[in-house]
Amino acid sequence: MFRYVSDCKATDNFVVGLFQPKAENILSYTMRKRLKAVLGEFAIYLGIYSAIVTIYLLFILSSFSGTLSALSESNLIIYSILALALILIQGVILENVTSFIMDRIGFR
Amino acid sequence: MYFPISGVEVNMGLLALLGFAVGVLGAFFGVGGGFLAAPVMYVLGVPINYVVGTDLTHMVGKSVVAAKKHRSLGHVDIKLGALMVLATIPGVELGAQIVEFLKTNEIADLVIGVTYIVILMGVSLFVAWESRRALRAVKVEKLTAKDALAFKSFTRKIQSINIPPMIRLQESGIGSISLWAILLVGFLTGLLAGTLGVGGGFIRMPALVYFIGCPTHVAIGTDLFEIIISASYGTLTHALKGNVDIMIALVMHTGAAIGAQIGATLTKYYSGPKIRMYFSILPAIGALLVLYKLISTNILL
Repeated sequence: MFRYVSDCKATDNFVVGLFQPKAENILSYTMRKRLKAVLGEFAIYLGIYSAIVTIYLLFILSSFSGTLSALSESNLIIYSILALALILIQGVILENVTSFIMDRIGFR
Repeated sequence: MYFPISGVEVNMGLLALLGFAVGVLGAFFGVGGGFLAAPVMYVLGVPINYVVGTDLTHMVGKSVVAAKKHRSLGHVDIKLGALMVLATIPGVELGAQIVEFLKTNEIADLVIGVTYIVILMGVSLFVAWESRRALRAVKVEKLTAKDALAFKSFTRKIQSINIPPMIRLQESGIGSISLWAILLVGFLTGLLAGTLGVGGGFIRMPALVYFIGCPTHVAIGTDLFEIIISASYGTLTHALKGNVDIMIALVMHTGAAIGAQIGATLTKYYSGPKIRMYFSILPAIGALLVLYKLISTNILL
């Protein structure tokens, strides 16, 4: 009886051992393929994100820099409140943009 | 790009790249990342008086992104974070007063520098030791890796302090804990942060895990939520002193936003002890940077 059980276990182990490496290989191959696809999509979206951000920085933010600079010299209280508001607003907007990118590429 | 507020010309791409690196690290470990951002900003040419204030401002935006992501993963205990903030701010203020007192006695640099090194090296060594033990326990005792903790006795003692009001922290999985214990931990971490001049993530994240008993992932998310409030407060006070260049902060944040998303998402793929083990390297880097500064300015030797 004991011998039968141990034989069965040995057979099970052998079968598992026989198939496990292949299963792992298949899994790692699939994962590698998926990772490659995710990284490829990530690079594309990162490029789009960088382009949008560059336009935002060069055209929108740069036009405000003179006003903000003048405000930092003339009224520090308003400048401080505006600085905090700007970073919070940009935080919320970019959170939405980056979440959208992450969802699109399936990086969840 | 020329930044008229601080009067410097800095490469925009490098600032965004720095933001990205700090964003990944900050969102993965639940820290502000000032230990990395501040010296690099200085090297890039940002005047020293603008470094701290601008770094704090960029932290606000980065923490909004990271905390929101952690919230969607169920890693933020807003109740705990809000209570900790209530005690942290008075702690930071008292710490600032201690610094002023030390400055009048002209021993501030030496005392703060040495305390910083001792505390951060202590935190680093303890977290490294504990996380290794926890990882070994996971292997030997077949514990679930997610929340394994090798230093539970102290946490249990704190949780068993029975001074009302007792509160329940559902998100952290804590059935009952005294409000005073949370306020005391918040106050002490704030006091250390204020005295040492750091954001507090280095100290607060381990404190939430080992003293309060939070799972590591919740400690990271809650710490980031707290950073939004404390860094906002810091932004206002520094901006009022004219030490914030909002343009630099906004540029850095464009990189930090995507980095924070990646860092926060990556926490899903690592167990609590693994994150703590990697985290243990950060305070050691911070301590070594301060040691270098003390030696190079002839304060220590």
